[in-house]
Amino acid sequence: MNDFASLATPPTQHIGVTRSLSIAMLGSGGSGVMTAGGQLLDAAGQAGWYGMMTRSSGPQIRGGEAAALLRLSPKPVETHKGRFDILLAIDWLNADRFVGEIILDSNSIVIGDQGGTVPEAISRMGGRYVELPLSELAKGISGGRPNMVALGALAHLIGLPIDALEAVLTKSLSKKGQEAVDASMAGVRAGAEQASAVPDIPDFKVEANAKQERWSITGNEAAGLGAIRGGVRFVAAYPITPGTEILEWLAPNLKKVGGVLVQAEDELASINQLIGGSFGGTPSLTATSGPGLALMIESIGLAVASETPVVVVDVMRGGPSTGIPTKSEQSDLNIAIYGLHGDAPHIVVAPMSIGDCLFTTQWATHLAETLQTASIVLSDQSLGQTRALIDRPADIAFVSGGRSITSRSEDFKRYAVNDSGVSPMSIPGTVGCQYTADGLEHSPTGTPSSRAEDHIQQLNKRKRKLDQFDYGDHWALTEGEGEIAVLTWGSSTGPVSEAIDMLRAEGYKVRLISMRLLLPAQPQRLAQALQGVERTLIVEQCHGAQFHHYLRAHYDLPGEIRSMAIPGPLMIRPDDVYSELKAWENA
Amino acid sequence: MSEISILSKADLLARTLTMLSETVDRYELFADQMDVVNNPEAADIFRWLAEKQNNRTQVVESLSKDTELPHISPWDYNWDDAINTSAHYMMTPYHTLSLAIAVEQSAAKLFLQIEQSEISSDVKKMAHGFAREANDFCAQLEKKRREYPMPEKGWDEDHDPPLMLE
Amino acid sequence: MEMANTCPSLKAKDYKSGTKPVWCPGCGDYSVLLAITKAMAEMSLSPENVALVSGIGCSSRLPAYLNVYGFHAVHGRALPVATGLKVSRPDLTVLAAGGDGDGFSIGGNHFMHACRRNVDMTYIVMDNQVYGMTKGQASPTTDPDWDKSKLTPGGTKINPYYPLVIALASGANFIARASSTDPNGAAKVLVDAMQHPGFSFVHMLSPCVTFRPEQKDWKKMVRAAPVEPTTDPAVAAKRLMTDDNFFLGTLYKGNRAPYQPELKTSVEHISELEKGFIL
Repeated sequence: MNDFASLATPPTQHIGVTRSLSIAMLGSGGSGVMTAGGQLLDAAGQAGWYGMMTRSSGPQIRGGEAAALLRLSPKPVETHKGRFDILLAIDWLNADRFVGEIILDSNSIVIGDQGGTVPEAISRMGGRYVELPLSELAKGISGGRPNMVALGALAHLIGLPIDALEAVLTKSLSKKGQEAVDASMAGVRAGAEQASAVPDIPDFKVEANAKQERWSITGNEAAGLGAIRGGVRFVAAYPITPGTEILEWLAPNLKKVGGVLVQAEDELASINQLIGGSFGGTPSLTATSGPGLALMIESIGLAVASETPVVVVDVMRGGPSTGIPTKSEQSDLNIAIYGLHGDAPHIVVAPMSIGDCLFTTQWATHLAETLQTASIVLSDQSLGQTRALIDRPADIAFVSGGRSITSRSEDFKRYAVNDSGVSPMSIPGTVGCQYTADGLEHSPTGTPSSRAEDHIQQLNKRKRKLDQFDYGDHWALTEGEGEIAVLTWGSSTGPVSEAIDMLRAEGYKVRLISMRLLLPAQPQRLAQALQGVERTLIVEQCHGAQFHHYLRAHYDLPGEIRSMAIPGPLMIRPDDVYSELKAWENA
Repeated sequence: MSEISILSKADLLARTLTMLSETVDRYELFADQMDVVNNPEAADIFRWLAEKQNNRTQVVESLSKDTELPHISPWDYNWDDAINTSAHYMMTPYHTLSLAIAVEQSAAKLFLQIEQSEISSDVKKMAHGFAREANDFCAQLEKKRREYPMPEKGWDEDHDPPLMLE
Repeated sequence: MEMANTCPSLKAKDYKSGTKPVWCPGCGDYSVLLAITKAMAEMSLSPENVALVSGIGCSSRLPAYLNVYGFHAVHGRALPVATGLKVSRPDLTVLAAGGDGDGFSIGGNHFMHACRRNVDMTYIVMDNQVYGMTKGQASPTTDPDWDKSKLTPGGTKINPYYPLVIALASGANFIARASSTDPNGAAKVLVDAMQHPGFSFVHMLSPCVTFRPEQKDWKKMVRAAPVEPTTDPAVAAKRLMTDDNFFLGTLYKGNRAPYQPELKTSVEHISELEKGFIL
């Protein structure tokens, strides 16, 4: 055992907030760290813990360096801390690429295979180094693999019952047969036994929570389920990282509920297929990422103008252009809100956690259907591709009323001007209610028109239906009291929330406001939520401070305002937000 | 010209009704076109023509009341002269009536051909009647056309270029 | 193709809406509209079970003039809208229509993939070899030496696109040419196209009297193709490659099964899907 703690930067520890354990597993090409990480997460869930796992990797499709980043806790967790308690590397090839993401200190444990050399960039951060004979032990087992040995060692170190691992391995290897399960379990046991030589660290033993139904789900899967719960039965798909998993989850599952998914030739096709599907009466959705959203924008305007409900989930990644496809950023806010040409009121919503991807996508579908418009859901890579252990999300049912005409109506006018702004919408097959949906400005009957009177009536109608709708409490998460507020959205909510917990533990009063509904803006609601606030910190993962500028454009913000706008690819950490708030407090 | 043979009264009635409905549809279409391009004089004449043909249709329909007529698919005949005329947005009443005269001449010619074909005398008689009606209408149209001046050279000159729409 | 219910009493004009077309008098598109209504009447289609989708351009104004469900979408995207509609509502008779610019230029990729995907629908492209709504620019089917556009002085100098050849190479299941100069013949082709399973492509010659007045001569140039429709793509390929653009009629009838994913009627409860997430 080597101790290079002397080289380390000072430890950053905060008092009592979310007790948790962060583990990074590294390995390259075929080492199986991702699989082992997923199994560790699921086993932790079996044992009653909460947790999350993020994948990070190099640019190679196969053979590249990869990291499974886990955080386990007795309470639900929504973000990584940045600092890791354990770093286990099956090998160290190109491991220094993860230095920005994996922060170690003198209390961290670094585990490597016997005979390996820890890269200087990693050893410099500190931590106690332990060598385990991962490969050697694996060689001694028929069909044994180092990742299973590593899994056993980690389980032992964190006090995870071997039974929980066995249950997970039996399930995940069921197709490969009992032999594979036995070989894996032999590796796990060998690893666990070896790790018992590592001195026990009491801090690491996290007591598991009482067992209840728990889900293992990614934000992308949750969005897929939210779509189905929202009634989506037609999906047009064009693959793009990091949104593809929504589509891949939906392909088989949509079929089971009587829906259909079509792979389109490009995003121009997918958005227009949705418009066709929805025109036919079927709630329709697609998922994409920034470049795909950019291609879809013209036709999202068509959905708005023709009042055809569609839902587009944008799983944001680093931009502009091809940007950083595998990393998160909240920099598509502008295009989602302002990208459409003309005056095109529509819905923009953002999930604030992995589990919330379900609710927010379902709600977006409900809003699109009820208000006959386009909904854009701004998820992101960190929500979409992180797997989390969460409590079963509540069943929420909305009654959508958008498609109101199902039988002959004598005075049917598709774009009738009325108080609610939501006009009657017939679906093909309805006798006597034929109409032509149009992206050209039109009269109440749908006939193309360039008359000023028709234009103002239809503009007002399309705006009114969104402005008058009661979005209820879903518009934002508002929590806490005090004169300091943090205003944020989307995946930044996790780190902000945890930073606020740290401050509260120190006796500060801080409000958290995370906005789920971004368009139409809710100035009255936000004004109320900010009543009495003297300082507001605006937090977003975006270099251009798009959220800050959006708030400045649509809302009156009281008191002093600070913007904390940090681009990807590194995630905003609770510590960063905590430090920013402390610094402001002490200024 | 005729691609199906007319053997019976029912055949002739069906054929005549189809021709009439074609011309009514065409005249109505042209009237609508003239409305859209702000040519009310031509529009009025096309409406008047449509009404005239509609009246003739009603007469032929009453003749067919007790007869089961065969169905004629559009492609089973090709009365090219009538269905293939087209209008011009600056056309004058003179052009409008000339178009209708050509249609009637073509109809009269067709009925004459039928009359001269190998058919029973009562069908011949009916075809003769239809030919006469067409000729009579043609004469009426020619008379009406004389009320209007012959268009001068350059009648279709437009001093503005076409418009850009989308 | 089977329809749930039909309307045998309807006449061609019953398929027209009350909206008056904005096309130039003399435009071929009027006759295409007429041919479509005649074909629908012949097939006794119920107007409420038919949908026609279009893009942008003169001919794409068509849906508003019909008494069926219509969608006037954005430029070049008629086919994906029609695809989404048909796949999710296979009970409907779906048509897509537009011009040569809409279908072959901005929508070219969708044309290729719609042929390949072979969803059961009929696509009518009214080809006048010009962009009319933007005042007469060259389209993909314009001859290289046509020099009347300010945008391409001296002509495009680019060879035209051969839509029928591309349709065949891409996998269209039915390929025909019709002409607005013969609306009754066009109606026959359209009935044939709508009745044939899979993706049916109808290349519809439709002269532009305003920007291509010389196309009035097409009436004299078109003629029935002296051949029967073939089911052999190799025969069709030769036929289409040697075609002078004026042969009318159904030229190819393939026998590929249409693409229509199954829409299950006995469905699982959503809680069954959720089981996959339970630890």
